[in-house]
Amino acid sequence: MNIYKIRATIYRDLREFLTNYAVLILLIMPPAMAGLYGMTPRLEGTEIPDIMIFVVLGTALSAMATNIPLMLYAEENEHGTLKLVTHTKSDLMNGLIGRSILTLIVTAVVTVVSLIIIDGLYIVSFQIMIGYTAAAVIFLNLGLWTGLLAKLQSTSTVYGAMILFFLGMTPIVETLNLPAGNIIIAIAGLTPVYQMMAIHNNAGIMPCVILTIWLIATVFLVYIAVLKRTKTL
Amino acid sequence: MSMIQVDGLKKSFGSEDALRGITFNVERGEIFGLLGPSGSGKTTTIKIMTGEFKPSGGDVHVNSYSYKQFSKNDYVSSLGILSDKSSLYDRLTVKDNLELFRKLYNAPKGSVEKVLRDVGLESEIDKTVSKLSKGMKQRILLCKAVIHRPAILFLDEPTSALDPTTTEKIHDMLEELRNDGTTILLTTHNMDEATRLCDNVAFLYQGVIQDSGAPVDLRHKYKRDEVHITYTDGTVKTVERTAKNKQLLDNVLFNSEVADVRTDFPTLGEVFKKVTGKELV
Repeated sequence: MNIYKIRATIYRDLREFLTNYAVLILLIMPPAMAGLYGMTPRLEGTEIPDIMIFVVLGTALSAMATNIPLMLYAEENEHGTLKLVTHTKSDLMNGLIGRSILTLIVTAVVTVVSLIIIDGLYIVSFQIMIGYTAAAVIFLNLGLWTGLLAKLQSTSTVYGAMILFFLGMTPIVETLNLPAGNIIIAIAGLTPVYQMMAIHNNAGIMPCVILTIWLIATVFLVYIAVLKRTKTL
Repeated sequence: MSMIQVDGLKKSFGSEDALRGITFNVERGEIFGLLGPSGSGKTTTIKIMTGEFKPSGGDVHVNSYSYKQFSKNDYVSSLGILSDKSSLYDRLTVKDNLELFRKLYNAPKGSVEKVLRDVGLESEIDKTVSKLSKGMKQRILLCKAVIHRPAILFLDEPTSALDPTTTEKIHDMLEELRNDGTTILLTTHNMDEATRLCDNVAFLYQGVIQDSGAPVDLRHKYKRDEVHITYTDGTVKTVERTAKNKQLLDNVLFNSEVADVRTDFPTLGEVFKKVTGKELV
């Protein structure tokens, strides 16, 4: 681990965040959604439905933890700038660590801001923070995996949109009023955001087990992507 | 030990032999030119030395590292590379781009301003890269390659498609780097550039080094002892410089019908054509 290269990556990505309009929109999306949900009419003294809060959380995770590294790596692959700063496998790992650190920090900050806007801070507990951290790393890994392998920015936006809708916003299926036992509900029930909801509802150890499986699987995907990308350096 | 030692280097891509066993040495603080037309193997040679390709045969040592060690970080950090695939982050400023590389290589503070002064672009420091001309971008890429004062600089066609003013500035910078002790290996098909800059050159053609040496020595080697006399009516007479023709040659300067006199001291391009039978395109 080379601290100078990690620091250089964070420096570059910070500059990119400030000049890349696509990234800026992703940063605004979760607070904007929180603001919209916060305006929905409800009875005085009642809290906003949990589903809305978790949709905002899932959107924050998929929009930022996944899509930011996905877009940045896809652009670097397409324009050849990744090869500019990455000559060896350790260069790739240092860049990955730097980008991940900054992405996770930004994701956490925007998540807190969104929760404040939606009056959702009451859901925060030690268990939720553990679950959120695991989910953040899972979504980050998905972004790193798809980003490292993406060759074009245009195709990367498709992957990012799919992860956003099918993994980030899964609590929305609760609003479809599907019967219990429906396959869509069953599949949605295995997604990371649903595990956070389950942890909030004190569903025992199972959500942690499922999150751990997701974590292991996505770490493996990133490992494969790094191996493949190293061959083309 | 030479800074770069290439011994019987071979590289094949499938059934195609890009390099067929080339051998040359580059000494410390020297500018060495690999000259040849497109497809002769120049870029392949550089890519082997920067670790991008693995050789199919032969041996390469650069700065005491064997080619098996070319993926090591301390080897890569000792190089400066300017290739046809070099690019910059378009949305960022010149300062941001160079500051990134300064931090990557842990070069001292102030290196960014210094390299920009060296190429005469200090006034562009806060400009977005996308707004720069091609010549300016090339100079910034050169800054990026030298910001950490590498021991060796690999330049693949560094002034290709650039205007004469920018080319001159880049040449000045390369000469300064050489004087500071940097070893430079560059590829080019611009013979004037090679004649001006290079201490030694090698002609690479069809994956084989056809001849090598200092530019002036190669020109002497392939000159003929002849004098070309052009008369005012346009006719050209070629006369051997021998005792038999002494009187004719002595009288040439006083002959009012003589428009031009030239010795057969070929340019590097003409030497290349004599050696390979091909024009350098």
